[in-house]
Amino acid sequence: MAVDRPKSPRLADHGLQSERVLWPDKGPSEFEQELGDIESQLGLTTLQKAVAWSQTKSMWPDTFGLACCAIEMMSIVSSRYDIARFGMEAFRSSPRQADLLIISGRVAQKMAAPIKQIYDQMLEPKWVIAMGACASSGGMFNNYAVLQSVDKILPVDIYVPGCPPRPEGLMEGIIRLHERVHAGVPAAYEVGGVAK
Amino acid sequence: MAFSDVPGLVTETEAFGETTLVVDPAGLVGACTFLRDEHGFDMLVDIAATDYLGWGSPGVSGYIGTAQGRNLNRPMTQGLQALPAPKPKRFSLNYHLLAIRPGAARVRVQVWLDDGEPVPSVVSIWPGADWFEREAWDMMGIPLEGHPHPERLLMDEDWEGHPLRKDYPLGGEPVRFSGEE
Repeated sequence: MAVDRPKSPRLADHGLQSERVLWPDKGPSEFEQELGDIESQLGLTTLQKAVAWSQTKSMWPDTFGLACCAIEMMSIVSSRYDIARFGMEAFRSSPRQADLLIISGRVAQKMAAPIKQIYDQMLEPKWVIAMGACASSGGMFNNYAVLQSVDKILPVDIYVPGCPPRPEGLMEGIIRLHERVHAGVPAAYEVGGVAK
Repeated sequence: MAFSDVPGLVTETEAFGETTLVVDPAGLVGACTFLRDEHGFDMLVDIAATDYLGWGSPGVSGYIGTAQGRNLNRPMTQGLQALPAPKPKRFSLNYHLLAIRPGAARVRVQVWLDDGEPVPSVVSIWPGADWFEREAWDMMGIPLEGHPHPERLLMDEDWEGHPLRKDYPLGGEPVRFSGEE
């Protein structure tokens, strides 16, 4: 892959600006450093970069609101936070037409099987965001009835903390996912080797 | 009393403005049919199961008070631990009935059960009892007789144990650095 690209590790030099939407003078962060390193090591071709760019610009989520976090997920479609700026206002009802599964809410033991079925019905490439404390780790419900983190059954790309995370918080998670995909980081199921 | 003609009635008590009829499990269906047809209680509002395991032992139930009872006007008064009267059996199943008419009379039918003792289903009398009874089976392990599909409601079909019993552990995972380990 002998494509010439800047060697610096900063995302800003590659044109990615998510860290600076609200804070334009911020210095380089760890996230950017790591992504920059990965990017320079992966050495993607221009075609792969173009494909990754287009996957990022129109990543349609699946309507998968489980509990309270779903309300915050609904509000990112509203006019104040407006996920349509990022091409994602088309929440698909069918998992077969969706790219992104945002697990928003606590996962009951009984719900684990349907979630796995929905995830299996999604077509590759697909990504998973564990939104909120309950999807990331079981949250405040450390008991027999709640699955302690959805990554026991699914490979998760991004964990968004919060109870519930603010809409801006979820959008930050989504944008970081976009930047990961754009940088060429493989989806979680390819990395973990599970749930293919 | 108003409900002395209910067949299968064991006792009728009234407290805090609520009437409770204690019925034998064998006579439950007859009593409920009588209440629905003759007394007009055409709505089953709720079926609540209660586990009284450990009732009467110190720390589980009761309060600290004097021999005459606790004096609320003198807070933190010490004295004897007043333990409540023991319950007849481990589980009580309470059927809350409502008569939809002016006056909206309510009554509670109570059945006492041992562990594993089945209770006849009242689905044939009030179809709304379906899920309440399934919940009583799932959460408390009260077996049902004559229920059309006695499956678990809230937990997985192959779940073992009955989670809301007093001797069922809370579950979950140990949390690091929380001080509980």
